[in-house]
Amino acid sequence: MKTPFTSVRLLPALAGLFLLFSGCNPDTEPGAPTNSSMEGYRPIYLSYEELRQVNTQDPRSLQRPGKIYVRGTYLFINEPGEGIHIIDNHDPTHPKPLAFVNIRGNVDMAVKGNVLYADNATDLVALDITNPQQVQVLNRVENVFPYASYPPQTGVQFECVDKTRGVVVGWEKTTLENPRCRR
Amino acid sequence: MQKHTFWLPVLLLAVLSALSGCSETSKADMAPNANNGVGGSMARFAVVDNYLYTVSNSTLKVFDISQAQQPRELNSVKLGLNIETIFPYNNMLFIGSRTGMHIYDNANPTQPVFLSEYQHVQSCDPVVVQGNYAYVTLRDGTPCRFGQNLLEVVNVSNPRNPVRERSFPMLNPHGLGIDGNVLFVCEGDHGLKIFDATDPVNLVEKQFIKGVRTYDVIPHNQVMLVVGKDGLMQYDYSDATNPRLLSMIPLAN
Repeated sequence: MKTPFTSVRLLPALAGLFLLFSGCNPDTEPGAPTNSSMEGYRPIYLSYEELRQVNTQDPRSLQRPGKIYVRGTYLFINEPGEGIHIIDNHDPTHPKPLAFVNIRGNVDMAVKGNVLYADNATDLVALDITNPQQVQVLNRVENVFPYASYPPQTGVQFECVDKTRGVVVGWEKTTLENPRCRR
Repeated sequence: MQKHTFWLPVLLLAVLSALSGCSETSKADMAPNANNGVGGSMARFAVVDNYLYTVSNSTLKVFDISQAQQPRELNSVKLGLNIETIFPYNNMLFIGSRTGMHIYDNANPTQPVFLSEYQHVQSCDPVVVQGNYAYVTLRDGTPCRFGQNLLEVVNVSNPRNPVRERSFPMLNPHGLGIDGNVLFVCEGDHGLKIFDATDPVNLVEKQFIKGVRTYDVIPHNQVMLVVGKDGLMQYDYSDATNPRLLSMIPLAN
């Protein structure tokens, strides 16, 4: 009777302890000659050049809709990591997809007047949406949002990220040779 | 005759201003400026007048957008860990984290000042506010493995000392929204609930829409926008007990 109760209470405590000690801990011990291959995660990079190409495309279907935002008769639906669907919603019985704005690493947005603010991975972009089918980049504030330097999974080995290669847009599970990062 | 022609426009004006006054107030609750938009409760971005607020995992940033086309980073405030959402209301910022709700005073918009933190068990929890009450949903599931499934009603009339007044058991609550006395709560894969919140501590369930998977909701001009794993649905909620499906944008097959 007592054992299951104790273990249930212990679980969060153990998890807390684990979280405390996790994080990116590259093994910096000099000359540690480990030559082991193991399961782990490898970052998928998107170059800064590609990241910073924001453009308007033809409307596309919803895949995995995220955040939503309303401005006047327009409706904005985020496609996590990919960009924003713009919908003409002046008639809510017949919403009409107008365009898809390709913004890699995007999860959030807000609008003031005719300017849409969106996160573009590590950057903030200001977009002119006066013509939603031809959205223009007005401005970009670089490196204001956190750089994702570790996978969402915990208790895993992973290849340490190299920020010069771009931003990390995903993680693939693979066999790693001597991974130096752990979380 | 002369009297008549004089009073008619006055009367009309009075009626008009009374009518417009009403709609102005309810709009002001949703968006501080009609030129700006309305986000869902899961938002990490919020525009208040000439400022854009963003929250990342541990930081609140303030951008000056008085020149809309040229955002300028002004300030960065450390918040603590696992921050998830931001909801501006009446010169305050209500910030949802996995351990509680932080309240900041932004009367000086560039320098948000910490007022209090309302703590609860570890859960994922967006928040919306109306009048003296904050509505917070707590849910379990990754990444909130130890959470509970609750809707908490928190009295924030003294924002330095938020007090929980009631909590209602829920199935798996996600985003939420409020318009006037109508409260909307996404129940994840279970559907969406509509409550009469005339008395915030005695919420009355008016409708439970099942068979639709919901993540976040925006009630806006009597149309409720609901997003989730099935796509984007819009309902007319002018009759809260009997919401009417207006349209649906489905997912790609």
